[in-house]
Amino acid sequence: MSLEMDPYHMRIDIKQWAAAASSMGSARSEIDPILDWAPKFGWFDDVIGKPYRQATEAVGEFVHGGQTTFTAISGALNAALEENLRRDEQSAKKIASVRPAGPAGATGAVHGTKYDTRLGGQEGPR
Amino acid sequence: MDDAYLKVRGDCFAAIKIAHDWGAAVGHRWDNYALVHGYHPGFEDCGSLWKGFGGDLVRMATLSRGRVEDSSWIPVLRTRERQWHGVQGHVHAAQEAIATRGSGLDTNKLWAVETWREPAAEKYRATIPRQRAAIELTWRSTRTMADASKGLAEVGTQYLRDVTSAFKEVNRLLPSSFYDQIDYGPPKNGICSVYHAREMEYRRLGPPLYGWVTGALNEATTRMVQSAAQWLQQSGASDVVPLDVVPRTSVAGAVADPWPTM
Repeated sequence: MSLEMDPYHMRIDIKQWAAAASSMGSARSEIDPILDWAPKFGWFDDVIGKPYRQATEAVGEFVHGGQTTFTAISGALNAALEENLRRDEQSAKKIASVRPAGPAGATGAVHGTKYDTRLGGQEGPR
Repeated sequence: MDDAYLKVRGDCFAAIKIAHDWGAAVGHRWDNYALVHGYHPGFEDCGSLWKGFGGDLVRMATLSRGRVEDSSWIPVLRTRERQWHGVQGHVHAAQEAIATRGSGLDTNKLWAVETWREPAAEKYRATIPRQRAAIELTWRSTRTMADASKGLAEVGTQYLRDVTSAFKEVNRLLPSSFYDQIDYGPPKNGICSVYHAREMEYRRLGPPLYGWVTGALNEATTRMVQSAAQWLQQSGASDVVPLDVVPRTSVAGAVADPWPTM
């Protein structure tokens, strides 16, 4: 395997960031109606309405930002995983392409030999 | 709508209406009396002060009634409190999702980290605690907003109670039989006996009463504003909801490095 990070734990990470993004999406669906609260309440608005709205908008940005960020992290990790898996697959194919002829199923023969591309062609056991 | 709020609001309107009607009736009755009996020496001295006081009461009552009519923000904030709790619950779920407990995000335990030494991985590991701090901040912010919404609604309700108390006290002190005695007749020899007695009562009660009710309203307003400010900038809340220094950037920009290109 040539993965920089093991896919098992990478997948766990992806799943967790995605779950966090999903929860933040739900939070966003709750907060958006609050952010839409535009009515000005006359006298109250002059006194405390404006700071309350400012605070609401600030927290709203945090919620929106959280959803965006967690989605981005999950997506980036997933892309990295896919890329690593693709590279690993290519590597396996490359190894298979230089594998010497032998009996069917004798796939272990490539390891520790001069045909093992991971060792730069060096002979002998690792 | 909130039953408790409706009751407080109704009580407030009722107390204001009594004072308003009294003030309006005094002015009206005096005008009517002057119209019927014509001018007599001493009229202005005897009744105009009362009429002026009645006018002041009407103005105060009108101002206060406007504020009570504007008080629909109180039940709205009670609704906001519930909504903020809903947001808080979802944020908490997100918090749980990226908690260290038994997760792949535990950078201290998993061997995966040991095998992932590229610069991108370093940035990823650095991002995890930043995002945890951000989600913690968001959670505390939503909690503060829920508390602030509840507190502001209570402050507003208390304001209505204060206004109600002020007008009830005014109404208690008002000479209820005053305008029933106006029709006793015109002043004799420039002295209106009935008005004279009431004149003295006015000089004793009127200005202090006006000053008192004005002060009570101002005091209630100031108290409400201060309480509201405390709710919005309570101890520690300024860090959670930095009203004056609200970062106009997203969480990603504010608390984390740009996500590394992988």
